[in-house]
Amino acid sequence: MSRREGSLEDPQADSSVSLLPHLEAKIRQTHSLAHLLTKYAEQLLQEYVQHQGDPFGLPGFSPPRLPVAGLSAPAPSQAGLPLPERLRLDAAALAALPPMLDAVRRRQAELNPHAPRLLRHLEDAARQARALGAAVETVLAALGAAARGPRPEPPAAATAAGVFPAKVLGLRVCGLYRDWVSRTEGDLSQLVPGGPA
Amino acid sequence: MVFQIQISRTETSNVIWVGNYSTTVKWNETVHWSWESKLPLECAAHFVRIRSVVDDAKFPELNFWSSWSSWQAVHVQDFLGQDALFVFPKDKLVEEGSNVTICYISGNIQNNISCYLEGEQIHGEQLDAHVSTFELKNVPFIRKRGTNIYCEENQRNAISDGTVLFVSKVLEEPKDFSCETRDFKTLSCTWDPGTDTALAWSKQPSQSYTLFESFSGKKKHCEEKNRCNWQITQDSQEIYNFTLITENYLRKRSVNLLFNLTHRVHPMSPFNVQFENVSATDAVITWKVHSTGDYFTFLCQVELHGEGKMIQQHNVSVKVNGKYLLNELQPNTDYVAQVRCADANHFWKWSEWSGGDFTTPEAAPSEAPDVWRTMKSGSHNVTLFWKPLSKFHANGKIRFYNVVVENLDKPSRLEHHSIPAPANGTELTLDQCSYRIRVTASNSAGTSPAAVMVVSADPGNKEVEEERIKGTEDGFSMSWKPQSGDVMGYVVEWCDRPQNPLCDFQWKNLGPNTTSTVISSDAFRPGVRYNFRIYGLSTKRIAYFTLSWKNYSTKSQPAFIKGYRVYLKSKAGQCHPGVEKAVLSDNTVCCQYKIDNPEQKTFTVENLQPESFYEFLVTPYTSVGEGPRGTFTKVRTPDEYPSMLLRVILPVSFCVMLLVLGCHLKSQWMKDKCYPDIPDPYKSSVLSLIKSKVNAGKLYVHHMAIED
Repeated sequence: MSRREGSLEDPQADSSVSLLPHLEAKIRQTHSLAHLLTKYAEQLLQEYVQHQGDPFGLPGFSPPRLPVAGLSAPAPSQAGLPLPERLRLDAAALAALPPMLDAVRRRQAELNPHAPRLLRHLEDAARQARALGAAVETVLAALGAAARGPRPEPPAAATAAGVFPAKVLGLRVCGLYRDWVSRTEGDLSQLVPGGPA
Repeated sequence: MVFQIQISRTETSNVIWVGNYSTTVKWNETVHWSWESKLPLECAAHFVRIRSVVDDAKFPELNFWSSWSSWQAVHVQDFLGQDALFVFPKDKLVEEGSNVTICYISGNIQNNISCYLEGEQIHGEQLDAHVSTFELKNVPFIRKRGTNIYCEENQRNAISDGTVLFVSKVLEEPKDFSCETRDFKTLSCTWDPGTDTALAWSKQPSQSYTLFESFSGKKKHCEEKNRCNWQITQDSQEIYNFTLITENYLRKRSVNLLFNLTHRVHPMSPFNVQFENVSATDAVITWKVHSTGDYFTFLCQVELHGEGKMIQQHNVSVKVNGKYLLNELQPNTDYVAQVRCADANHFWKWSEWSGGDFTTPEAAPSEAPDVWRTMKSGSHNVTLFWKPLSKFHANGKIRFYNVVVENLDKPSRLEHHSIPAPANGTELTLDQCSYRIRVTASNSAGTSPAAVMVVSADPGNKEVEEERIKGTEDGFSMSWKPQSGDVMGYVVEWCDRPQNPLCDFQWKNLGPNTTSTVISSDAFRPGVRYNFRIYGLSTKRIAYFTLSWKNYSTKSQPAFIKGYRVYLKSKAGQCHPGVEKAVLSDNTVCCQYKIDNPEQKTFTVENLQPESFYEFLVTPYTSVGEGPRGTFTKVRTPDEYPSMLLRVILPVSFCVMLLVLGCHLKSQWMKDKCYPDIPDPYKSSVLSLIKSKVNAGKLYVHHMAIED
């Protein structure tokens, strides 16, 4: 595959270029995965708040906006970036999320030891984020748009002092997971042949 | 020394607490003391100072207060940013029902911060421009995961903070604390721990339990929350004084137990339970108990169960080997027997049950079958029916029924029939003789008593009273006149289709004094006709004999034979009711029977007395009159109760013989007692003496006579 053929600098301009079948299949597969994980992430968020007690889960509850070290929410301004750049940001976020989700699971194991389903879903989310991130990386590599140089190690998962901050941090991490998976699905949909331009 | 401590809040002049602390001190030794503030220390500045006095009688001169130390400030929460909001205390552990003070510190001087407990707004007091407090009284336990307390600035939702309050259930005193031994090696102590006070987030583990024994001074940490084992040492300690201590991070409780080891013996269950000498009505149960010393006696309880319920219960005193005879058992029955034991001297607890099952063998059936019969009219065939014996009387599985038919007129003939169970009847082909039929039931162990039935020869054409009755919901109600003579009972038989071999033939036995009954059955169907017959069972056998003149040819007679006359003479000269009397030419009275059918060549003369002499004569008659009367023929009816007589006479005879023999052997004694000799004075020695005197008297008289 030539660089030109594989280039996605301007997918809209090159929409008439036919992608190799295996790349097309990979893109579709990754997009489907992202679509599925978006639903799982939403369910995980709902399940999480139910186990923290009120006011978590109550309408109108606005938890403290604790910063999550090493990861911020998808910014609206990122929508104007080129697709490869957006996908690179998606992959970076998906790589940063697993250790954070693991940390949330460890804290929840102390706080909610009798909620095995929540703990299992947090473990699944970490694994699924890692898998989606790797799939996005694969697509980027196939397109010749992989990130240059070694990716920096994701920072150690933030810990919160105190139970309430730990609950809030877990809520933030689950929210970030949902937001980034949803963003990835949207970005990949632009690559899917026949998808929205 | 006594130390007085003052604590102020917000500013030194605002003293909020004063207290004294007394302790012994050593030179240059650091003294430790703590105080817990109800208001989290983060929410206000606190100040503390101290002074002391020597409170020792040995140093009265030092008994004056020192100067106060300078105020020491305690600032837990320092600089706050402008948009900061902090809620305290963080993750505090409290006990259910206690009071807790929550506070928040805000970086902004504002009045629009709202706080919520489990989503419900709470209201507090403003301590100063930056601090507000909330007094939570009697906090309830909500969940092990804690209670969320959260505050936020109303205008700007982004500014908020919270804390989690961990409320613990109150540690309960252990209930039902008890100790026992099963083997004199280990004491097993148990209790009800009540609520587990463990909380999530490792805030508080489950409460711990520790056993302390005061006489030995030993202590043991219990690994389980509701039991603990204690090793019994060889020093023969009998009395134990246990303290069970439970504690969590907030509270400590204890209970005591004082007891004598020998009064807390819970034996292990008996073993090696066996059954010996199992017969149809008895069985011996044996068992062993775990030995706990030569001087130990067990009280063992034996229970026998049959058909799902307890039948017998017995108490047995046992040292090592137990044994008990179970009697009054039923044959061919499954039983379960179990045994448990306890300390005979100081009852504490029963051991668990140990047991097994056994089955008694069969025994011979204990009751004669209920038998009845039907006879077809004009036929000598007898159909016997019998009802199956109940389980109680069968004593096992009935294998077959034995039917023995004895011809009473020809006693040497006996017919044996063996009918396999579960048949409930059989058909016998008989002739005109009388028969005694004995029916018995047999299982593997033996044969039942016999049901005996006598079937007489053709009873003749008796008119049977027939009545029509109507059935009700209760059944069929019927009554009859009591029969004359000795009646040992009545039998009511019925069926729906009497001539049909498939008739559901049934019968019911009734007592001799019964003259009415109600026959009810679930098998009765509406609109169906049922035939009922009532029979009286006589104890007395009616004698009869049958005459036959089959060789007499009516056709070859010179006249038309219209029938026959039978004349019967008896000593009593009485005729059975319904039988005509006739006077013969010699003026003897006899009974006359009329047979109007010339073809009938047999006739049974019945209702005769047993063991009696009769004379009979049969003569034909035509339209003109009777035929010649020949000589009467003599006949003797057989004995009624020969065997019964034997049963009566023999013992009586035997007794009489014994009496005679006894009298003979003791004849002298009998004689002396019953008929002693009447003394004969002339034979008496005394009489001899008197005679001498009399003779002397006579001589004297004679002498006197001479002198005159």
